[in-house]
Amino acid sequence: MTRRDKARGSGGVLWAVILGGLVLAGFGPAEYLRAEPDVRLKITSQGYTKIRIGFREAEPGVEGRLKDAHRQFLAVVRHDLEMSGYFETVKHADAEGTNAVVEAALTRDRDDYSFEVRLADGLSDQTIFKRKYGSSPGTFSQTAHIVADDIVYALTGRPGIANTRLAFVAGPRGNSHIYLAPLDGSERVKLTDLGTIVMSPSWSPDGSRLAYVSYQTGTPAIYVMDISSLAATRFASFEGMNATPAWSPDGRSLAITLSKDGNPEIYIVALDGTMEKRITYYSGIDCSPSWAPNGLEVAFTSDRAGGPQIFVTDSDGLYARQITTEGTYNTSPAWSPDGSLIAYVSRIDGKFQICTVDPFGVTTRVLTSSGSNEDPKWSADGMHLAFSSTGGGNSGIYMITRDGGDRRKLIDGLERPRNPAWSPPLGYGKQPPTEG
Amino acid sequence: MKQVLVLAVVLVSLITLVGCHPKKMPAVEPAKDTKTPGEQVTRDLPSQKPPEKPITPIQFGEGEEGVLKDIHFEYDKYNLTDQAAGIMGQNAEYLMKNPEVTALIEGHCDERGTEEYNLALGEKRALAARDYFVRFGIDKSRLSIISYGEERPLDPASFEDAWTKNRRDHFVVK
Repeated sequence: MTRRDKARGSGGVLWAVILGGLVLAGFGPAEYLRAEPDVRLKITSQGYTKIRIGFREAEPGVEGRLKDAHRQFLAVVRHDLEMSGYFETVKHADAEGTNAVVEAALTRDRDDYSFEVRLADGLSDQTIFKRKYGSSPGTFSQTAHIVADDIVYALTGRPGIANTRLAFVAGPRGNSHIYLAPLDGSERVKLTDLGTIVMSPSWSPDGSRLAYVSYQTGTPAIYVMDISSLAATRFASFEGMNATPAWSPDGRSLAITLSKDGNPEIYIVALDGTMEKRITYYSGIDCSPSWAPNGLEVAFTSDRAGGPQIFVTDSDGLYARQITTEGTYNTSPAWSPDGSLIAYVSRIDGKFQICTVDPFGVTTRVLTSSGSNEDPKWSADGMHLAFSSTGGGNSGIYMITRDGGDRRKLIDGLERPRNPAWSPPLGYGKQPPTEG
Repeated sequence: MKQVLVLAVVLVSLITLVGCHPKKMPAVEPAKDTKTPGEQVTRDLPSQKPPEKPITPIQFGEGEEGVLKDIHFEYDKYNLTDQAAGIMGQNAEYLMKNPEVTALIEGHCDERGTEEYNLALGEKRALAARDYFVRFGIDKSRLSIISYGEERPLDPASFEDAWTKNRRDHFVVK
């Protein structure tokens, strides 16, 4: 090649790079390819700025008797959007700086109620989506939760938490029960009433089943309950202890703690109850597994370093790396759904605090500081943690964001609520609604 | 030219990757709620199948020492102290002298500590006692173990004396 040809060749590469850069800059999430309004979540160096969202009365107006229901519906949507952590709700939809607007009309055709919801860009009023949601007088608030989650998804690309449920344990020691409640805490259902000790509820990834530990036959065994029928079957009752069930991300097996080989170790057991493999080999304590979302690694608690610390092993048990080193008591790992953080409990100055660490143990963060806090469990959106808290007469189940902010109480009024488990959104994986 | 082609392929694949997005979240059949939100209500379900073995609700203070004496543990530990080993020696002799007797070893913790870890800690405490008996010469088939973690304290109070009492192995002889 002559020198001139070489120069032309590299000039061509330069143009390709510039064009490529322009193309990448112009194309973000897929929605942009459909030229939708630009009211996406903006990630800034401090986290993200909240989307300002307002509500507007839709045309046609709402008939007299339905006005209260309509107002209640909007209040629930507004509350859910604020609780998601992504939004700042504004009083007047037409105020300056409003990024998005929600219009909702409630119509009724004899016994068929429906909410027609339109989400629009605040500046251009371009429609982001317009949908009809069937509802009925007993279910307006659940429809509101579904609408709020659809708005969250449309504007952030993430699943919302409004239409999710918490399973948790409450009751005196020795006679505890597993409860199920929607996130707004409005109605709790007792799932078990066995007159014995129950612990550690764990949701299947599709939200259809709940695993838990029960002493109903006298020794701790693991049961799996189908949530729609409430029928429970015994899953694991190996010799010794059967505890800490953790559902694998593909829903096909559970990691559990067993002591059948002489001391607490972690095993993976298939859904039909057959033993698949053992993944820890230390003669002291290994317990409390939590799966990485890619199913390739498991975080767990072990005292092989002296006192309880968090370790990560691969799902064949070939290696184990220690990821907590500060403090002498670190337990209860919970791996976030996006894989980036492991939440855990650390004893600091004699009390328990919720902390997070990356999967390689490089950066830790303390999220709580008041009371004594245990049992961190992630929401499906990976933005929030549920946990139990005691101390100062404020015992209950709370939620916070993954940065430790916006602490809210979810469950109180029962005796010692603990062991929360956060369901995925209801109806996860089903067909999307038809556009209105 | 080849370089431009490679770059183009890379760019196209990047755009395609960026273009993938997850399924849209669906709406569902709404379940009935019988109360307005804000009111906190607990519902009971029709009773489940009765447990296979009837369980007596647990009372505090139950499980006083029988012929086999309790042993106690240090905070967060499951090894036998010298004092515990001494008591275990006497317990083991009783079992040797009464070969028809079987024993259930219960492992317990104080309420501090996280629940699941305490379950495992109680299990290790019970196993420590069983291992001692087995090394002494007692047949393993005469011994069973169970951990109650922090769920069945002898003393439900929340201070040092109660905690010390609760960190124990308790023996139930049959």
